[in-house]
Amino acid sequence: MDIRFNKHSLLLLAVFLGCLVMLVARWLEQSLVASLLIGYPLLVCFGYFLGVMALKRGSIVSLVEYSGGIPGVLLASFALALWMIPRWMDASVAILNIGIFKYLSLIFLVGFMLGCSWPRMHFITRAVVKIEFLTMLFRLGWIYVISPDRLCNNYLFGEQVLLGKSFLVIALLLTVVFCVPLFIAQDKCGEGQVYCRR
Amino acid sequence: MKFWVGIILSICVTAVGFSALSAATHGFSVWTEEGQRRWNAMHHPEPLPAFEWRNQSLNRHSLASLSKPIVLLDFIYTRCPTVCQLMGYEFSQLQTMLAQRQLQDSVELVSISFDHGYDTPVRMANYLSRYRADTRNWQAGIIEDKDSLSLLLKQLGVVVLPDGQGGFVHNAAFYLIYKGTLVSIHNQNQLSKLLSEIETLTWSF
Repeated sequence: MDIRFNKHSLLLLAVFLGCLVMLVARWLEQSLVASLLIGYPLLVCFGYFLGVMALKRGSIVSLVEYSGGIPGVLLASFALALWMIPRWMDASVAILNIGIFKYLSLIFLVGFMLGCSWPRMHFITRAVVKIEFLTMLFRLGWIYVISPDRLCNNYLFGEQVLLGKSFLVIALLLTVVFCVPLFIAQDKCGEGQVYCRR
Repeated sequence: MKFWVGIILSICVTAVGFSALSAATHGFSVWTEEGQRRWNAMHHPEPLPAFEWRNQSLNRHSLASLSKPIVLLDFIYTRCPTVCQLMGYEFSQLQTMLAQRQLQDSVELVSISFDHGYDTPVRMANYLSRYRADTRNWQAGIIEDKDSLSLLLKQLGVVVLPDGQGGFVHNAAFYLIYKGTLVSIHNQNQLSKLLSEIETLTWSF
């Protein structure tokens, strides 16, 4: 398929999709589980694809490129950490402006930054990010399951426990997904592969 | 050269990120909405909005009309099967402890119901008698004006959610009010801490 869009129509399409994604995320906020397991990934994925596209079109500043993607992934971690704090999750539901700031930062500071950093990252950095993400999911899941207090004012206690359990299940599944390739012998010597048949 | 740009940029992002997270949590101490409310009460005490309630003996009262300078407020609903029962029990314990310390004339305990359609003065009276309350410094009331009830709940950060089984989920906390101003918010099971703060307040008058 070789359809060429001009710059403006692509930008317009991105803005339209962005608004749509934000609306869906707002709607999903009625449920804690849906908001975190569908809403957040949706916003981040949208930003990620924007980032990958920006990288392909070469329109991104080359700063990301020669820093091995590390500043970008650090920025993404901090931004994501902020929106995992119960107080700010509550605030983003209660106050529309904070909500909009949340959607925009999940798209641009998390998704976009990951999108233009990930393809440029060393495999060791990637592994560190993956492991840190997994352990964070396990820790959060654990906290949500055992916490005797309701952490978010806007959601019921049962939902918090359900979210914790979902985090644990997802973390387990992701562990399998990340580990399986490690048990498969590498045939080709690709970039960043230390042990392979030459 | 390019190498250093990446490293310096990473250090800057980390510094900014840490400061931002630290600012967002008041130095990594406030993580929840409720924590923020308590932080505000401690650091920037604000007068509460005016509100009136009708108590178990049908009298109208407001914070200003009470003769005692310290008011301890909690929010309940009488058909609550769980947390409010504990709160009522703790209030009755507290009442005994206050009497032991001769503080019964300085502190008024006020239980306010947010169950607008169901609770009546008669039900509030039943609630009090369930805990053998001494009504000289413990009263239970209903805020009849819905707007001022929701304004008060909003300012105190009390969120009441229906639990889908005819009851409500709500923050179970005690609100310590001194001369019309919220000075602190206390959890359940912290009666000794609450009591020592009340004693500190009474030294100031």
